[in-house]
Amino acid sequence: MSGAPLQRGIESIVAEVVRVHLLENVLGRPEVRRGLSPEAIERIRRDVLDRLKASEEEGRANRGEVEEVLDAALGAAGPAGAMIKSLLKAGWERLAPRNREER
Amino acid sequence: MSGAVDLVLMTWRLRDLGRVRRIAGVLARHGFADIAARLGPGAWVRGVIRAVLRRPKSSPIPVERRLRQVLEELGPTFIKLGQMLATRPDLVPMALVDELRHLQDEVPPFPFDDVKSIIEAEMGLPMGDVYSHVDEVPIAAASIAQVHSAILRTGEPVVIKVQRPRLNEQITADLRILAGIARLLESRVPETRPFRPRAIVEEFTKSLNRETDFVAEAASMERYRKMFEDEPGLVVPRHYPEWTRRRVLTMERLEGVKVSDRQALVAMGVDLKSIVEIGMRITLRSIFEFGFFHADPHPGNFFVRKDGVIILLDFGMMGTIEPRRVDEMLSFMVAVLTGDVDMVVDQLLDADLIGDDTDLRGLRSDLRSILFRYADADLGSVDVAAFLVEVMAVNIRHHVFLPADLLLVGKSIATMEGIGHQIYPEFKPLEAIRPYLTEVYVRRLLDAKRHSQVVARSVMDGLTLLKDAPFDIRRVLRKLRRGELTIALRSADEESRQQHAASVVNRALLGGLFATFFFGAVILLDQGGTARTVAGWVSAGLSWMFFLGLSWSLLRGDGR
Repeated sequence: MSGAPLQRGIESIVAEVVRVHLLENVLGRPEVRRGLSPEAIERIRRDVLDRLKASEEEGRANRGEVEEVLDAALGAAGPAGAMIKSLLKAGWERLAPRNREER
Repeated sequence: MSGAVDLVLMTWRLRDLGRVRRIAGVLARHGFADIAARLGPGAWVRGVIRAVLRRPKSSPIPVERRLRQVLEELGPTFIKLGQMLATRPDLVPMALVDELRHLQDEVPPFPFDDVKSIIEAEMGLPMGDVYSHVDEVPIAAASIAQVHSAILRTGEPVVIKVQRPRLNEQITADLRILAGIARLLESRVPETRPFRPRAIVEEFTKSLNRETDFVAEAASMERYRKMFEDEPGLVVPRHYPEWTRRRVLTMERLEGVKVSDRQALVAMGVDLKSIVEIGMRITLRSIFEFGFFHADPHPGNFFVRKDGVIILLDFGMMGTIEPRRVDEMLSFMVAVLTGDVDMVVDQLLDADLIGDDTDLRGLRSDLRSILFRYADADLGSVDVAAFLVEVMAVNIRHHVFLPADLLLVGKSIATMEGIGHQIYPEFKPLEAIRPYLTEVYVRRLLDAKRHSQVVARSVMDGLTLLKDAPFDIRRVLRKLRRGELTIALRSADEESRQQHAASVVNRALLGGLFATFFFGAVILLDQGGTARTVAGWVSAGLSWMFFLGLSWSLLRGDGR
């Protein structure tokens, strides 16, 4: 781990994925609906959303560092690294269009 | 196997003769002479029990109560063992669990002279150089330590927890004996093997060693205090590191009344409902937010200050849970409390707790009947402790081995519920527990910081693997080319082969000793002379003993 900027970059990316893909899914789960009142769910939604957006913004400038670290490390790993890089890219592409719409 | 065990047991048999005899005597007095027979005719214990047997085997007192009495009579180590087993319904029957919960940990105080000498030995100073006054009458006396009020030379009122004299020696001997008994049980009473007596004794040894180290207790107290710095309803005493040692703990004196003394609480005019809510909140937060909780939360450790703030004491027995286990436990508890049977079973499967012989359909069906019954009940009427016990009982019946930390968590919550009902009977624990746990569960699932730490760790691990992979592959290929690659296969019955090998070695050893002493005796007796004759007969006696040992091992046919 090369310190806080990289961690912030990863956290920013993860926060965006959680906000776009997980938040409503988790809050809509049957066990959550049974265990919490609608008011409590709404309170948690607002609070979690605020936190996620803060994490996204805080680390947005560091996202490039994540890519740089991955590029360098995967480049050093030769053909296997290149293959994993393309897999990661494909995975991110699947998430990215929705990201842009949300933003 | 038996030869190996017998040889190992000789170590504690000789050293701890007196203590083993006392244990056997107490067992026999309470009608447990029959257990010796289960340990095999070679077991030394049987002879001792027979020798001290004074009472018939049958007793009108239930076996569970007699067991509790045995533990109480045998002192601190065994009382603590009983307390640990009281938290393990997966290991001992529920009737025994209930009985062990009533174990008395109150013992007569030890003399003040001992208090003084322990303090002076630990501090390396005269007692008066540290404390300007120490009350000679203790505030409380328990099996591990007793507590005295005192005033530091600097004027601060404190309490001192002083460990019982010679406690370490007694505990060390008891643990050695217990380890021997556990080994005997595993080798001679096969039906105890699933309960892993040796593992239990090992776990118990660690826990007891922690509890008798007051420096470790002080560190736990400090950690707990910092965890709840933001909690206005709780106070944890500060300790004085400069006056805390392995056997002496000095901490600030806080005045309050016992949480179980409802009359005194009412007289103080504190808000009973608020006390119960705070108690439950700190219990749940310590487990599910911090993964570090009070594993011995009996009412004697909870006090209430005049302003309604809870004072928590005694941090000798603490439970720790890894973050990943917290996630598993949360999911399990949320599934149970929201009546989601499929999720409960999935959680048990994910945590690899379900045995191969478990009838999943039967497990689901039994869980469903309990969870539905509770789901239909009014939240206020649900007895959480009874509910958790029922869920545990179903799991145990279906060979689901619940981990010790989950059981400790259940015990903590149930104890807090009990305290709550005692001082505020209208308390509805499930109303507090269910939304709290569900909220923590949701927040953890949506916690980007936590997930990103896992992602970062995985990325770094993956990159290291990738970086090393070409070199590792090249190394393997090179060895393959040179014909140097070896593949080790581990046989499933390797352990029994090892046991067999140990048995063969023991027999060879016994045979060698027999031969040495036998021929030694022949030579010595042949030479004549008083000293040589005496030595010859001693040698003959020893050779006879080893011959009997060898014959016994061969007749039993262990390790074949």
